Amino acid sequence: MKISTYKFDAIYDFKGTFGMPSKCGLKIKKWEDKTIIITTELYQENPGTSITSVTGSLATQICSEFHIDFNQLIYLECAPGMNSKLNFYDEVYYKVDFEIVNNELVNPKWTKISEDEKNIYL
Amino acid sequence: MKFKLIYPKWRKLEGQTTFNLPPHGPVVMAASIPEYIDVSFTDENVEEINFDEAVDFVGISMMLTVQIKRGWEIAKIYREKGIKVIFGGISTMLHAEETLQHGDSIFLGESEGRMEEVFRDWEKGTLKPVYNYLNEHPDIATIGPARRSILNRPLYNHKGVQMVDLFHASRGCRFSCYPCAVSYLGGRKFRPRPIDKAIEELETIDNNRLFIVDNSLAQDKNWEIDLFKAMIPLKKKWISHTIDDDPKILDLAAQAGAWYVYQAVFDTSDYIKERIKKYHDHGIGVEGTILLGLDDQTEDDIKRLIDFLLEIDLDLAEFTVLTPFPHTKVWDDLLREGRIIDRDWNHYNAGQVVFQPKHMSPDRLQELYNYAWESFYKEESQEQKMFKLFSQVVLKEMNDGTFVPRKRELMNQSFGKQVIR
Repeated sequence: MKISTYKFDAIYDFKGTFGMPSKCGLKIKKWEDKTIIITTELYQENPGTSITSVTGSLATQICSEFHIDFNQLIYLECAPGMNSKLNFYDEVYYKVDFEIVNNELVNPKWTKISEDEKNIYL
Repeated sequence: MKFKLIYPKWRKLEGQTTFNLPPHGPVVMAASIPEYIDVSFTDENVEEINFDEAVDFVGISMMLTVQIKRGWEIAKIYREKGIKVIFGGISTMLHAEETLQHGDSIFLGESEGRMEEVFRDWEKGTLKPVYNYLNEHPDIATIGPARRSILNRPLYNHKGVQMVDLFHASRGCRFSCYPCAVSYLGGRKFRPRPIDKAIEELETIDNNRLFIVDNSLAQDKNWEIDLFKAMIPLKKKWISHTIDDDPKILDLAAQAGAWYVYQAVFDTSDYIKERIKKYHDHGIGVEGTILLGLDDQTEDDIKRLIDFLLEIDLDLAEFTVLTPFPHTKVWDDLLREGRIIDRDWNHYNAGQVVFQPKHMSPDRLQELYNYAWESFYKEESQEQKMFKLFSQVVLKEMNDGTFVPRKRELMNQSFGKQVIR
């Protein structure tokens, strides 16, 4: 089953659980005084850990690599559509809030965002 | 050097017929252990572990999430004796970080070609905490026959009837199905074994009845056709997950000994009805697998689905509740939505609701799960339906001369325990 929507700019290689080589879709954009990071799960094209399994460490890796200030961050996670009539394969976006502990993003809290919010951020 | 390999027990689902099949993971892993190692195996589901047995190194092989807490308990006992413990198997991979806290080492991935390193490290006292080969699969052509000689065969008998042996013809999966972790565990590409290698292993199995455990054989039609053609002369009888419903393939599958197949029934469509009819038309039985609690199921949908099952002439049905196993899409979805309400891994048996369903309470889903089992088996019990399927395979075996009568010396035993006939 292939994902139906590609709304990212690049494929990003990240370290999953136990450093497992993993891939996700990545889009980074400026929005007002914030930086928006959008990670997209690639399912069959991700050979490693899902973006949701390691959300905190993935967000930390991206911020570190692209010099993004945690306090200026809006982090979105996308579960893309999968070309299916079953609704649990529909595209969904989540905004993720973190705590900052020892200069790492931890304890993610996901909030599903509406179409309107999505359009604002994207 | 003596290596003790253990397969922990788990609590079986209440109200269902229990069969203990010879486990597959330990025998596959055991085949990759260097020959100079003395291996002894205990499947705790059919015999007690002798913790006083003199052993040098312990391996705990865990397939199911419901095995892991018991696996951790076993490890604690051995580690208190100063014996190193390594964990492996599917549920070790799914629960790697937690399991690492309970052992000296964890092995992630497929064991072929890797065990020399592990035992060498153990001998040198330099066992690594993590052997991570999840992303480095061995060449599928190098996978040889599983080492079934470690099994205590008479324990896998019920009143003289030998249980099916487990066998795999491929690894990996190109699908990413909602509740399944196979593509994470075995890779996201279908890796079929060369036909000659699969047949070579089948020829070594001293059992006419098999369960082909592959996630789905329906991933490469040409290979599937070649496999079934090559299996015909062996006259084995087998159960499997989904196979293609192409008439040509079904015809070959029937000739190759297809006994019955599992078919997911996820809606009440004519497609499902037709598919089941196609299997039956080729003399292949069907066990429906029905997942309850999906976000697109209301109470009415579930009741309608159960009514539908009674109309479509399934030979057996197995109901499960949606269970968010780690490294599945359902885990990610429910985690993000804060809907995982129970993290006691002993409850992750696919018969107990551990999440908040979308359209009903957890208790109501649990009731509907129980209702589904009761309704489907109301007119004819699970044992009666199983007996019918069993009779079909016996008939096929009698027709082709492969029937082996019950072992008389085991008539009074069921999985190693004495029973009254």
